[in-house]
Amino acid sequence: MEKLPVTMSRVIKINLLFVAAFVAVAVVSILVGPAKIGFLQGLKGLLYGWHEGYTGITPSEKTIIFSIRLPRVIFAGLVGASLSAAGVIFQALLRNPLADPYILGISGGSAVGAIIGIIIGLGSIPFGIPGLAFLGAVVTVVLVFVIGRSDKELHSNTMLLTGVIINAFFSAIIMFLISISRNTDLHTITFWLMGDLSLATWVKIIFVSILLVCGFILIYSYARPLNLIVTGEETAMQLGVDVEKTKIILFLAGSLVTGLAVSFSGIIGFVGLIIPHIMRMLFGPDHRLLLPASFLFGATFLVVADTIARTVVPHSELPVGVITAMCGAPYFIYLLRRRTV
Amino acid sequence: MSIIESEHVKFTYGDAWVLNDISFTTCEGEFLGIIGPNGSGKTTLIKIIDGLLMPQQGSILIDGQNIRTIRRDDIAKQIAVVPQDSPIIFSFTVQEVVMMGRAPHLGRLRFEGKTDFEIVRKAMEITDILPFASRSINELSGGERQRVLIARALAQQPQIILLDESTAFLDIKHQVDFFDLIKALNKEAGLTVITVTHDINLASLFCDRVLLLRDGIIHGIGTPHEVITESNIKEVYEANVMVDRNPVTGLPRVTLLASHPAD
Repeated sequence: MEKLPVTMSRVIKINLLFVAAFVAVAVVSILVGPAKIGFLQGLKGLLYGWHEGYTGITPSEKTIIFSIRLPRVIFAGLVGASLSAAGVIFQALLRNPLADPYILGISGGSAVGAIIGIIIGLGSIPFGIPGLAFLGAVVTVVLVFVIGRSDKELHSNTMLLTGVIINAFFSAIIMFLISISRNTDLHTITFWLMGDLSLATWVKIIFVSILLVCGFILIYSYARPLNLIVTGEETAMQLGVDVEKTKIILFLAGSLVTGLAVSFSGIIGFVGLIIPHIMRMLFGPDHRLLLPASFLFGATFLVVADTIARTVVPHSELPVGVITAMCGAPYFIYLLRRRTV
Repeated sequence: MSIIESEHVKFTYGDAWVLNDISFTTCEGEFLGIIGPNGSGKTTLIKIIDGLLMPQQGSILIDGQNIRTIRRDDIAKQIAVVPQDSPIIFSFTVQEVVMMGRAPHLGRLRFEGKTDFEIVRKAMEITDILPFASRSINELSGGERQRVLIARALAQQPQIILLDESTAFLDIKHQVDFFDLIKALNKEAGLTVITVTHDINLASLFCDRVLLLRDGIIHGIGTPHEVITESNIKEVYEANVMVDRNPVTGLPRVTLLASHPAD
């Protein structure tokens, strides 16, 4: 494939296409589900239904569209975008194509927080479980930074190993907590561990989207230094990058974006690993294009996966992590094989 | 006029002094070679001149300004480094890698403009890599990749270029081509060149002055005739060599003498 240089107009054009794709997928997703809503009727309802006097859809259809499916679709998009952008950052900073947003142990830390929240019954308090999960994520990030930083430098390999160990340690705690928890909590815990997007509310969406957009703008402003760091930290310094400062900012931003997504949605695997790979194969490794493309395509992908998760089994709903792993793992093996052959 | 001044530089990684009281100056437009055995501190000295390592004592002045007080991106506008071949994990194109040389001039956010593309095209033209500008860097041979790294350094438009055994993995034709190119830039554009090399004959051929390092101390600095002498090389490298004059150039020539030569 001919590789075109990355210019501002190309970045804008490609990302406008991705925005259009996301909107199209989101609309279809809203109109699909156990409660059947006619396509045209639903489309009109989506456009005009927020008017008080609109009568094209019934009040219950209105509730389904505006209070259940629309927030869920937007929320799925936010989480998919966060995980994909974080995956891009961790793969670049650790210079390891197998890195994903959970590699530093953030998922384990969040899970411990969330499960404790579920067991002590914080589910009824707004932001109770996600709050505790986010606290778990923050504690993990602090641990990884304290252990992985020596001689005033962040050592990527030490951080990576620290993450692996912390994840292993938290798995043990998770097993312990599950073994002492009541049967009634087990279903909730399982769904959380596999990723659950059904708890979306407008308040959560506004909260998450503000933080996420700020995080993404900060991350994107480091797209060029990230390109240079990928080619080697010493090279990046020779080309004028303050590598230590850049790494600290990006590790923190990536970790907090991940922590935010995980705290509200549980552990959705494979998105943050596979989306950056697909985008890199399509558009090359330049982060000025790779970051926004992964952000938008990750959003679209998770909306599709979540739509499948809530419709594929009649009268029931699968955790979305089941779908992402079932699609992601075989596709990843295909990618690996294709590269080596 | 001196462009680089090293004043009593001492550096250690923790135990012994790797560099001990290194003082020398480099003039604008000079071609300086740094030679010395393994572990004599050559690469450390290059990293200190580029500000990647800070000496515990003494200082480096670039254009009269202490390098400690110069911002990283401002150093990169003045000094470019051509490293030994370094692997790049993601497959950037040749043009993208050369364009990275523009980074210190563009900052974090600005997209490349027409002048940047023109500078990059010229750098690729000089180094003869234009034909594969859109190929992935990982598809190239060692010699081609090295030329890409030179082009990237040229795109930085530096006043000083540091070569850290940049030709170690190149065959003899590419070695000479490379140094011919650097020498031309040195002569025509007034580029100051400092090269670390194991190849004493190459240093003799291209350098105005040679700095001989031994255990972190300057053993000698001066023209190739003054520094590359049989007694100096025998003493510092502890190797059995013969130094005579190259019959074509008249410059010092080092020949290895083996204890058990082939018949």
